[in-house]
Amino acid sequence: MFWRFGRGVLAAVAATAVLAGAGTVVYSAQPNPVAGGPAGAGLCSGQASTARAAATVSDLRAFGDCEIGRRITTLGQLSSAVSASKGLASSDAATLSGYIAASKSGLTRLKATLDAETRLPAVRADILRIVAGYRVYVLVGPQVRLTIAADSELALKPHFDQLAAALAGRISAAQARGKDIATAQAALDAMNAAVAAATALAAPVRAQLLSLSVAKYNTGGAAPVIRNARTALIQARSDFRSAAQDGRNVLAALK
Amino acid sequence: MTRLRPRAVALFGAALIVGVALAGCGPRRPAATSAAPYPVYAASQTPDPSGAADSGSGEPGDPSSASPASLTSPATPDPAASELDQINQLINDINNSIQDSSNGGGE
Repeated sequence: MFWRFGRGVLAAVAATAVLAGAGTVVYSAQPNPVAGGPAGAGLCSGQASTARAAATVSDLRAFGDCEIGRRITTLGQLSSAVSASKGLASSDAATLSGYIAASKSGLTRLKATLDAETRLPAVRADILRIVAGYRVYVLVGPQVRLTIAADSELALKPHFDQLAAALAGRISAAQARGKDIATAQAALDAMNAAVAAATALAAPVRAQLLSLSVAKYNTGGAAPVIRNARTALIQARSDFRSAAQDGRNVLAALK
Repeated sequence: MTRLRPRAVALFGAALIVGVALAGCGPRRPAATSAAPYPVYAASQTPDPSGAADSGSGEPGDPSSASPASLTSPATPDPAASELDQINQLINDINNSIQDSSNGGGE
């Protein structure tokens, strides 16, 4: 299912690029671990096949309209994710909402342009702009999701600070009662160290992500930033998970 | 003697009926099932000081109609453990965001 969709749409876009005669645009094969992709990556494969076979203005327009439509659906989902996020800082939410709104209005204008085209070269150029002009799936989507993750990770810090204070108090009380607190203290130290490491990893990510643009992506500067951001956030999440386990170990040691 | 017997029986019967009727009109007494003048709880039960058990609807599932023994409040959750549960939930949310971010969408 996934491979059929992934290959189908890649082939469709690549074929369209060939039809449009834009040999300079390179569509790299993106990993697509979720079957169907956002709003269905295989959603437009039918239109793509028709456009490949006939390459008339109306066929290409149908393909382009479909690709714009699924991007607008995806942008709506991203907008919902921003609204629903508990950890996203309000300033970052406003910035991301601005990026999403700009992409949506740009694609809506592009659809109107595409629908009014009557000549094949103009339609082909419009279709290429759907991808290269907006980068919804390889830039905006990761930018939104990873910024949510980064802010949410940083939002864990106050929770751990509160927990650390409570656990330190319990350790002191246990010590005052004459209990051996070595294991509990070691677990608390490990928790604090893991939180510090995770916070250091997550802290710079949001600014790096928010500075990305379509132009930067098209010149090759954004993809490595996204890749590194994802790696850092995965490691930070793992550190926070370890910290939570350390916290449970403190409680267990004090029982 | 033989002529008076039915009459005596009739009089006795009438007296019995009147007696029973008069007894039924008198002040009623509770049907005592226990010699004690106050509620008696089993050793493992304590009376509900709030009286909540008496104010319930008596419907099945109505907590206020439960036996006093079942009204004991659950143990207070450990605040630190609750904080850890909340942290774990937030980490799961982060996990979802990271997973969704790697969906290229076939662009």
